[in-house]
Amino acid sequence: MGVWIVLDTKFVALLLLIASFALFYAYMKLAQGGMKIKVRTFPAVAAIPEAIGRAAEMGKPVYYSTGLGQLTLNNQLNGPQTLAGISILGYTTRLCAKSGVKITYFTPIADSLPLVEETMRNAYLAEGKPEEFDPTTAINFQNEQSPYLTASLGWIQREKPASSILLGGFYYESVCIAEAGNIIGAMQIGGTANTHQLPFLVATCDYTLIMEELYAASAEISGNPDVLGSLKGEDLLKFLVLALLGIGFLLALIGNTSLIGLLRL
Amino acid sequence: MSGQTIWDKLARMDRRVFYWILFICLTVPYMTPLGLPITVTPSTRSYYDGLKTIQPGEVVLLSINSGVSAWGDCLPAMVASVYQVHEQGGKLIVWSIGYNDCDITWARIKTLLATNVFTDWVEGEDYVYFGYCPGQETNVALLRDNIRGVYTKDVRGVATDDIPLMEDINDASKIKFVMSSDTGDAQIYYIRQWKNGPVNYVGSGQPPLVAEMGIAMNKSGDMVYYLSGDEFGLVAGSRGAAELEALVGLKGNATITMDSISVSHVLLVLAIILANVGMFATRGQKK
Amino acid sequence: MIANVAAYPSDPLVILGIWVALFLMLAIYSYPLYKENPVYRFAEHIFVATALAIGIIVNLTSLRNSAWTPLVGGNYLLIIPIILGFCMYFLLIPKQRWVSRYPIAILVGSSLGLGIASNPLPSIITQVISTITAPKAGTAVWAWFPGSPTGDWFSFVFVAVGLICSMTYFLLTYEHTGPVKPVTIAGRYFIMLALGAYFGNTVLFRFSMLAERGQYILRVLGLVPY
Repeated sequence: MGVWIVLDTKFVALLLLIASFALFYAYMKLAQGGMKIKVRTFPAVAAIPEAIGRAAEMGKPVYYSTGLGQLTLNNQLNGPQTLAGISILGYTTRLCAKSGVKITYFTPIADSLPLVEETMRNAYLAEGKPEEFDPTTAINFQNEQSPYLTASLGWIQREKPASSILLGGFYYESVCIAEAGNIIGAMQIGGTANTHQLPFLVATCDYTLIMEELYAASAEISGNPDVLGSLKGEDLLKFLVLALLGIGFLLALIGNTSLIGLLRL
Repeated sequence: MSGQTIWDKLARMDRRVFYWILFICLTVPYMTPLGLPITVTPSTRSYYDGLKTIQPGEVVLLSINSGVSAWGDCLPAMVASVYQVHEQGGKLIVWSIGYNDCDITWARIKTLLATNVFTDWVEGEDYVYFGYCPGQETNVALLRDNIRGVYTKDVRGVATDDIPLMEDINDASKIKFVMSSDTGDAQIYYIRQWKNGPVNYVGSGQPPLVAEMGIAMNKSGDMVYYLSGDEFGLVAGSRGAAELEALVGLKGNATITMDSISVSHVLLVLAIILANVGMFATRGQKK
Repeated sequence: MIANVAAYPSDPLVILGIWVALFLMLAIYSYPLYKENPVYRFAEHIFVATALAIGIIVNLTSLRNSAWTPLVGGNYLLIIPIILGFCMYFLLIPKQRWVSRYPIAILVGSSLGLGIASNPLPSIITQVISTITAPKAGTAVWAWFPGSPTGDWFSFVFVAVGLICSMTYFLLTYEHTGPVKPVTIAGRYFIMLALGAYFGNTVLFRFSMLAERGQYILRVLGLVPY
């Protein structure tokens, strides 16, 4: 008979995974039960209505993209970012529908299309203008990174959008699209949890959501108790890791390795 | 305007002028190489040391997860690595989980090493090329347990069961290590699913190790995996590849490119200094 | 000795190919070097269409090799993913669009589960262990100096303090006030330092790409070895 449990580092990882699920679940339940969860305020979120207002004044469209996202929603690093971007897309589309501004969403992520279409359609519906939503012009899909980038650059130069919003799992397209937006003088809001692209968004955008602020902004906008609860649970998990780091660091200074031994089992 | 200072003129300079200067500075050193020295960083040294541990007959994997557009940063390290695997008498499995243009990349590697590797390497016996398969991390997890479940044949159309190199290999346990060439995060899939996956590698006793030789952009992100021991080596972009070329003794495109990169960096540093001096100078005037 | 260079192609079709590639490359570069223009647009549309065509062929080939061939060879279980795959095409029929949600839900759920299950070890546990492992593990700080290089202990303290401060910055459901404030401010500086390093590495990558394209022009023109 095989061994069912091996007490090693993987077992510690399993315990951590179970603890994190328990925390997420507990806080989701608490949030559903009416617990108030306040998310930090982000200037980038507050700037979205300003960006749409600018487009309305100028009579120009809005460019929106959630980035490459490794071409799929089921990517563990990028999927949540794309979903956060789509959640904020819903809010942005609603603002656009309200102000009569055209918004075009660019994506190379095929499996996100039903969700995107539904999100945008619902936003128009919520503003009582379902007839104004045309998925063939509002959603621009390319199946690969470079074609998506090339199409974005061409569109930005031709349509000269008043505002450009880049929120999601970006790769090298971030700097190219943001620079194209810069050249035409668009107001830009960016955000990604892909660290390698953050410097470019920070440098080229007027407002930036750094790393997990993207998820928090999405939670704040959606107001969804499940998302807010999981965000709170995640914060407590961070406290746990911070405690491990702090204690481990102090122990290391006095030459004690017992915590390392405990984590390695 | 009569009141314009040199700083104002520089600040208003059309960015395309800079692009052109940069483009010229990048291309000229190719025709007149400067031969600037190259020092080897510890992460590249570790990668090379890993390659040197390959025993004759041992199988390693080259995972091409970078596209043709990243050849400048990724191709030279792949070329040097394949060369060293051949020098060590190792055998090579090649596939891609990242880009569907990998056939062009593999063809280029074969062209560049036509005279010093592929004259005596026999396809199917010393190396096998499976091409691209979509599916990303799910694919990597499946490949860990059942290679034939993903690749039923190689790109020539030969059934995997009929390839001599694959005779005893159907999972990750028989692969010594993964050399992952990335523009994205595929190396992390191998770390998660192969090195730290839910499998006890009974066959070899050790899970396959992972090494990264992707674009320079990945260096900062990968450094955490290198320092924690999840990656045994890290070759960062063309600079890392130039170091690797020096170590394996096969001067190639990365070595040639280094002059061009160095000149462009000098230009960039000058531009940054000028821009900052200009900003402070004009700020003073406004006050 | 420069060992890995190839001979200039002699096949007329290959020569035509590399010249077409050069033309299309310059057409795309006309965007940043000049401005958006019909030549760029021509290259843009060719690129988008070609990538789509290649994508279709590659995916069909993959479907044939990894699903269809084993299925007709007797692995009947593969009928399930094939049916799920076909369900995705209901996306194109507005009234039956809901069918496409099932394969997407299964795909997203299973893949995220797969990734999350293997994530805590390399991304949290190993990183915590690595961060709290001193240069000479098991030796107290006052005993380090005679043996350990100064750089090692500096790196150890820098990484540990930087990580703690940066993580505190990312506590998202707490306002940065009170005693946490100075820690988060320090965290922000650490993050900016990290972004600077990322920026440098990424600029190196971009220049490598641009240099390689510059070299390609010279190679096609025969000014440097192919």
